[in-house]
Amino acid sequence: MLEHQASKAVSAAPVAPQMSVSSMSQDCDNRLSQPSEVSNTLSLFALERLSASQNRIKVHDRITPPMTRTGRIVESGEESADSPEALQREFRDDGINRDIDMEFRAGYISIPPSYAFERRLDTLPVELLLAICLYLDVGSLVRFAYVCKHFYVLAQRTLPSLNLDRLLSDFVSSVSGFKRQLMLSGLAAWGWDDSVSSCIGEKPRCQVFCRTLGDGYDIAIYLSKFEKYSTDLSSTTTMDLCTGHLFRMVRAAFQSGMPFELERYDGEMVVIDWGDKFVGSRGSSLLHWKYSWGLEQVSWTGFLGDPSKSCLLHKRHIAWEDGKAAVRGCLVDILLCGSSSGRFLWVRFSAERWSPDLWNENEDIVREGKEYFNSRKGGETYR
Amino acid sequence: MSETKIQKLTLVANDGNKIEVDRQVAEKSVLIKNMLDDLGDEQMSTEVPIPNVNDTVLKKVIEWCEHHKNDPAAPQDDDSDSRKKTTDIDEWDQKFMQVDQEMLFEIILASNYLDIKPLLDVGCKTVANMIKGKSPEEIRKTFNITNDFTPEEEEQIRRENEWAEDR
Repeated sequence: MLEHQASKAVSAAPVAPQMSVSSMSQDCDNRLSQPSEVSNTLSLFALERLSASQNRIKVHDRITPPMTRTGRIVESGEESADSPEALQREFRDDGINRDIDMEFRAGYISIPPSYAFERRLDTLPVELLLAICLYLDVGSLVRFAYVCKHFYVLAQRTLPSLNLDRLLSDFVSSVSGFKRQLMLSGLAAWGWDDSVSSCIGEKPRCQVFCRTLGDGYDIAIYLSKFEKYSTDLSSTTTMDLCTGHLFRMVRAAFQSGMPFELERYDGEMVVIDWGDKFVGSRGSSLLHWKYSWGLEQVSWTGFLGDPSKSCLLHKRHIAWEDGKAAVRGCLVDILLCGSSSGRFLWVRFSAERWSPDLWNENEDIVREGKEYFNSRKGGETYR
Repeated sequence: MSETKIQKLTLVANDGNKIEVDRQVAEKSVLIKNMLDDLGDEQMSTEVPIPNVNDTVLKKVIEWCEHHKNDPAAPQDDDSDSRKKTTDIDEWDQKFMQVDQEMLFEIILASNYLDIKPLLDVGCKTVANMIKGKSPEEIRKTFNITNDFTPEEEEQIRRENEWAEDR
């Protein structure tokens, strides 16, 4: 009975910090007349708020210190020494009376979690949820998909039919072949060696796409039809292995001291090959990288296994110069995601200088790039 | 013959409360604008019922319309803008959207119903920004969403993503 009452009280109680302190306090006062009920309900309040606080800390502590402090837990059955005033003060301290201007100046504004609302995100009509999905980058969309079944279906509808098609379309319309070649040569995984190629039998096919996204741009490396190359493993496993390797390789490239700043670009293709994966001591993966800078061949070896287990890479500038234009950006994210027909390795940059016009130029170099690339790849035609 | 255009409209929320607004402000809603265009000023009552929106939300929507009343009209063919989806929100709109989640979703629903696309976009961007960068669990907590995957399905999902994890 008590449990039922407490549960009912909590479900109806304005525990979310959006409610005013006074209304919350009054609500508590009116409903919690018996001491046992008070303590029982308080424990649930506290747990709810603890959860809320922890959530906010998780979400925001990467950016700024959390505003809220952790709520305290009152054990069920214990008497609470807190007066309504103390409870009210605690809610206030938890950030109910927020200074939005201050938050804005601090660089972030959080919208508090919702606990007791009828109207929740998952109750929005499908067309509105799809509209929201359109604003998500692919990585966020993938994570969104794993929240619940409903979102999984929504993301499935969004990912292949909207984002990736648009990505391809953007790429075709806004990125000339030259830049595509340059991106391909700079980021795609050609020249697979040893362990990777033994898994798949042949070189995988990669395509690189780019799309503008506000003031930044995404580059996606699309690994298509890996199962076609599968010889000794199931297609899914093969694809997963290959893309997993590629993911770690690219990430390691950006974490390494590799000279990704290509400011000396002088018309020669800059090519990076990655391959030769080894297993190092202590279970870490060791990568051996080979890349060429014009005619100069350079090798690099390094450990993988970022202890932070974060997909966020060290920021490194990347720039392409062709004498006429340059694009510079900071790598801010790299991740892998799947679609029904392949895997995307997604590399996100935020541009410091960006103009779509920069991508539409110099067809001669495009042609040269294609010829160079095709000859270099020993007959593997790049269109 | 001279026609006197209605300059003020009274919007009636679903709880019966009436809010008087300038026509220019009300016409930020394509729904209302089309209604005015279709009916003409002669047949148009100055009272416009908005049955799907309550007073609180309607006031909030009107506040947005007031602030943006002089904004240029968005192009009708807006497919192209979806190619450059940015979640940047201007400062005033960010502060405007500092509301609890329920109000945020009500604003999205109201802007969809009233056909105020720029406001709908701001709402969707706000939600998208709340989703971005969060793990599935963080999204669940933020939006109070129950994980309805079975343990087997979760395991399947984990397997699907295992290859992207550090090992």
